Amino acid sequence: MRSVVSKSIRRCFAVVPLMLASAFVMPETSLSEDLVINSTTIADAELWAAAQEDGSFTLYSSQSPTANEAMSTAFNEATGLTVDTVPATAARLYERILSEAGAGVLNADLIWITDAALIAGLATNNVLASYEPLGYDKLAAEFKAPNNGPYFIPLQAVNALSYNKELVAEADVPKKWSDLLDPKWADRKLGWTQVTGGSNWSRELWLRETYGQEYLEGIARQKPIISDSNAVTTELLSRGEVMVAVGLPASVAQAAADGAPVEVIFPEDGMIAYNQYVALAASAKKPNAAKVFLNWILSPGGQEAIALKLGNYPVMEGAPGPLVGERTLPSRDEALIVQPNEENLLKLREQYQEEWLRMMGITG
Amino acid sequence: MTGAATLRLSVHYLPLGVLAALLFVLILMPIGIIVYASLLDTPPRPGAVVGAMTFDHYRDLLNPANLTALKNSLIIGFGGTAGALVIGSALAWLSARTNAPAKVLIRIAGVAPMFMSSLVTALAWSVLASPISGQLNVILKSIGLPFVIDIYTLSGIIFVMAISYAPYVYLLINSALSLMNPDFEDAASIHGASRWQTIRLVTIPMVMPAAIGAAILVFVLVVENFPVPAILGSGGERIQTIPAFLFRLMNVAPSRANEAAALGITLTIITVVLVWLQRIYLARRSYTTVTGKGLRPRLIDLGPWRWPAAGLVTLYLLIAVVLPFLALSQTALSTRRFVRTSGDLFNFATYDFSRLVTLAADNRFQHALSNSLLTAAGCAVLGGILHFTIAYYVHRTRAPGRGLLEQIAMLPLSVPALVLGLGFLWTWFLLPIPLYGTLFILILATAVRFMPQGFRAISSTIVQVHPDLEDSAYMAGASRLRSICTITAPLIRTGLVSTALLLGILAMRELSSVIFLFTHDTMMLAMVIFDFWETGSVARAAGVSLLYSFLLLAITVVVGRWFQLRE
Repeated sequence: MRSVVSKSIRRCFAVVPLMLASAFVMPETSLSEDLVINSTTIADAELWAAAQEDGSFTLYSSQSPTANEAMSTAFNEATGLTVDTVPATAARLYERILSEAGAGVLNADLIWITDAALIAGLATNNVLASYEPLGYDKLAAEFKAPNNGPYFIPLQAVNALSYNKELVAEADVPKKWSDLLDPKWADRKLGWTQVTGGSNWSRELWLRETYGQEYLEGIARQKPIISDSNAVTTELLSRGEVMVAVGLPASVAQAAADGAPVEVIFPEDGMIAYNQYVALAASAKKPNAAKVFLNWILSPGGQEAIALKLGNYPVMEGAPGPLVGERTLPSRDEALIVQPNEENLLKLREQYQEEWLRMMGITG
Repeated sequence: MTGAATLRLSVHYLPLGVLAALLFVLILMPIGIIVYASLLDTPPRPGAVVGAMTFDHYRDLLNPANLTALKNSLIIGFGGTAGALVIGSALAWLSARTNAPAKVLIRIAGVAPMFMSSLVTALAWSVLASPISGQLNVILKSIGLPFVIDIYTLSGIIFVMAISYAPYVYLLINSALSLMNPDFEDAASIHGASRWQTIRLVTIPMVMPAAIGAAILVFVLVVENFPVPAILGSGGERIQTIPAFLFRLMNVAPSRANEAAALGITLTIITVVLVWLQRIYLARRSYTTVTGKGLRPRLIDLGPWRWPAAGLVTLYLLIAVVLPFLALSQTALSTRRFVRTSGDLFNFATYDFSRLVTLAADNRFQHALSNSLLTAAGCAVLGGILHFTIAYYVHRTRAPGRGLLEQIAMLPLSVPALVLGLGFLWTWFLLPIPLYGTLFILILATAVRFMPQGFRAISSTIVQVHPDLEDSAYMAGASRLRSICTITAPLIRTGLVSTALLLGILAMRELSSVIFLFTHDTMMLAMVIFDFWETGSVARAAGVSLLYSFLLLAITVVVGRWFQLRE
């Protein structure tokens, strides 16, 4: 008898704080109403009830583990729903999705991939389902259904430049992409990254579209040190193995926060954007929670999280500029963000990649 | 045949059938799928349309990039093997056959690099000798020496391979030298041969089988080694090798799986040919000279060379073990990422031991640690049982096809680990059992990868126990399984347990065969190191490397003690 009583007391102690906490987390919601956050509707009553029934959803994501965590934490704080993330590199995730889907055991409800060719490939294989989230009508056309696929672009990340402050004098810091052709960066002073995924491919394609093949040939003549990932390039820059390098603002800022004497350069001729793509899985088992996520990511709250927590560029008008380290970048409306032709991203990849490898002297 | 007899026969062969099916799925299917994938134009995926047949991938192998990778692999293979042979046999000879002082030191130098795994050694040398910020180069510059050591070169890779694989040579040659019958050498010197002539004409030819065996083993290991060229081949000059190239082909988006398969088959052919050559060579030799009658071979007096020899051993120990250890410690502990002078390097105020503690307490490390231990335990137990069953069938039954069974069990020796892992990946995607993403697939992969070692080790103990013992139990009415469990297994339990421990340690160190199979939830320690390195967190990679090496050392010491107690 006593144990039953103590058990129910304990249960009360467990439940009461939970109720209190949820009252703070979700001040404007209850079971039979719409989900409204800061006076923006995230889900109507029907979807919201179904999403709460789901409680969580599974996200297959090729973003970095840190970005995944920041994103799911922000979403959880906003809605109380949980994201179970399965992170992997884009190539690996792609193979896994196609294999699981082929065997009829795809576990993902939502798929987030950082590569144009791969998301298009998933669409061709009928793995994705079309869904237009709330606020979709306000999304600029360039971010809607690229290549007519059932997916959209919730955020853009940018390629920039970076330098080692201990090795490069203020006056020598390059200001534009074209400054990298200066002879002073010749002979293993320049760090570059091979085209492995979406970010590097966007950079190489835009540079080639804008400055012609001669530009990349000029880079090759500089004899840069070429790594397999931007993270490794930034590490080489931090250690002073190279003086100037291509870099992703978020990882350069992270290295600086860890004590490396490195700094981001935002080139005057443009930060080269690369897209991230998100879509609902056709076989989603918890599509409702996943739909609430898609609604949220385009809402002011979601877009703000992208800028402030992930350090990337939101796509909706009026959203703030990204917070990178301690710097806030100019917002989309003020910054010069450039990107290559979306169709060429798919079409020219194989050919340009092979030419690139040859230009850089990696293959004969 | 009557129905009852057929039934009895089928019951009799049922376990064999299960075993054959298991080996088919675990070994033949992965290899088969790789061959199959190398001939198609789309990757093998469940439910997908089967691609068209093509020989293009093999034709593409002849393009300059692949030929360069092949050339680099062979250069590194020969160079690394030569280096490992020189170091390993010199240490073995000093230890077993001379009166060099500080034998303990020589023995430590002989085996110590093993605890650092080639992944960790490569990582350590990348921070020691990168051309500008490498710690050695910073020191050289500080004391005004005008040369730079660049590890991101072919010779750098060869050097790291030589250090990493010298212990294998040391162990094999050391045992050959210690077991050698000294009568032959005595005979030579009695007939007036000089010391050098004795070594050249008697000692060397007598350890030749062991040396050739070691050389081929090391060559195969070096050629299929993936972490060393992955780490040292991308920092400066881009040095592509076949395994590193294969890994990159799988990691570009979208992955070029069919080309990777064709490359994997090429690598397999190289290793198969080598293992085959080794068998032919060893089959032609007689081992009778290396019987070991309990005679201790005579020690050679080095005279005035005793101390220079000890000095060289100390120098080697410094280079192979102490320097990498210090380099990793500095990288893991110092809060200063940018090192310009040796003052920065030795500024102990920037050292922070709590970094290592934080890393050890980190969720990711703990998770990987428990995954590593579980996989090691799983490989030891399940692998042990599997290898025992095969060895039992091969040596204790007259089951048909047992010769074939042995051949299949030894097959993973000739299949590069990276290729085996790729085959596993595709096999378990195609089979309707959702093993991908679980620890179990890592356990199976390591159990298969180390099947030759496990099978050999258990076989050697099984053949020592006469079958009559078990058969009497069987005749007295016990079932076969019961006879095994109560008679044979207890008799060879020392051998069984040692094999299980060996399997556990090997699994704990493994990276190549599981690198395509792990997911975020099933990372093991070696993968965490590689992943930290790949994502630019060299300090954390160094920290986990240190903890990992200590763990391997601790396990091996405990296991070593256990062995000694049993001997």
